[in-house]
Amino acid sequence: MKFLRYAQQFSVILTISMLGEILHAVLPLPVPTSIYGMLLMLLALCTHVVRMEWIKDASDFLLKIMPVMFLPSAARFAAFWPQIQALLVPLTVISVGVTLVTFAATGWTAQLMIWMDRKGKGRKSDDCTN
Amino acid sequence: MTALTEFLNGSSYTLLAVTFGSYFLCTYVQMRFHLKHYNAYLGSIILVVAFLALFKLDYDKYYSATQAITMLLTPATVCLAVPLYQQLSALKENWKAVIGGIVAGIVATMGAVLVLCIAFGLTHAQYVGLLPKSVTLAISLGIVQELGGDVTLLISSLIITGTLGNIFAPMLCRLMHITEPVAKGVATGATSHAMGTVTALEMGPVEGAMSSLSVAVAGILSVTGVSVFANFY
Repeated sequence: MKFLRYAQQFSVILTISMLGEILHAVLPLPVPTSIYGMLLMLLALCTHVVRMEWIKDASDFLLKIMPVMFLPSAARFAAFWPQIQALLVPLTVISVGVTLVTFAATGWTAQLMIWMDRKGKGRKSDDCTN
Repeated sequence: MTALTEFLNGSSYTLLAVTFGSYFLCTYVQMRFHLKHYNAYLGSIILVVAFLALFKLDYDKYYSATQAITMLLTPATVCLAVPLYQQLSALKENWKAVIGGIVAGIVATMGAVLVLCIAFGLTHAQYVGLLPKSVTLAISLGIVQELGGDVTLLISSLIITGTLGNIFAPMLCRLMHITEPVAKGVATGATSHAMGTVTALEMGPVEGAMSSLSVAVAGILSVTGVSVFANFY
């Protein structure tokens, strides 16, 4: 029965991907199939249209081998070498430098807002006890 | 071109075996010898590129021969909803911080790209190609093509950014004193898209969930950001 479970689970995941593909084709927004699919899957799980045990094993498998899926793109980078050679310095500085800027801006802002929120809530609960 | 090169260039299964094999080998070595400061992912990229270079194979042909794995990216991204669903309470509690962090990240990124492009005297097309360098390719490719940006630069900077996040996200969190799991996940996902999310999933369940969500939210919000910033230079 185990093989059947995987077939069933992949069917559910691929059906959601298909619905994402349909939305991508129909709606005039620059949102790709995968993002529509992810939001649809979240919605389906929240509304219990899809139950966790219907997708769990196949989903774990796909997420576990996800790094391998990026290897072809990463290796293809070497193919761009002749074209980007002339721009190597600006490309490296911008790619590395801006990555640090994005990471810091996002992480620090989110962390600060979490702490402020927690402080606010803490004070509120103190007021209640007083 | 030798007969061997010619055969390997078209052999999907050799190339798929090399791709999976490199990843397996590098991960196994890391686990077997408990190597803390060695990155299996970077190791497998180097192994694959070395194999292609050794047999003088064509990178574009390698890419099309391994389409079978790349195609799985869409269903895998759909499955990112699973860790997100499991951490829904963390999202409900922190959604303001998630959105705030992502918006701050987009503005800072595009501002920094603008300043550096002016400093290096790059062209408008190159500037537009670099703007969405943190946005998942499926979204950024469309915008850049529409605005007439440099696609080669987009893909190059996107791969560098993703790979950096994939390798260094835990170290960056430590160096920048980002300790909140939600903030760690948002920073990783909003910076290095799905490539970084793979690492965020290893960092912890909350990190993985928030990173998955950030890829989607940052991607969608960046569309507006790029359209606005493209007019500045």
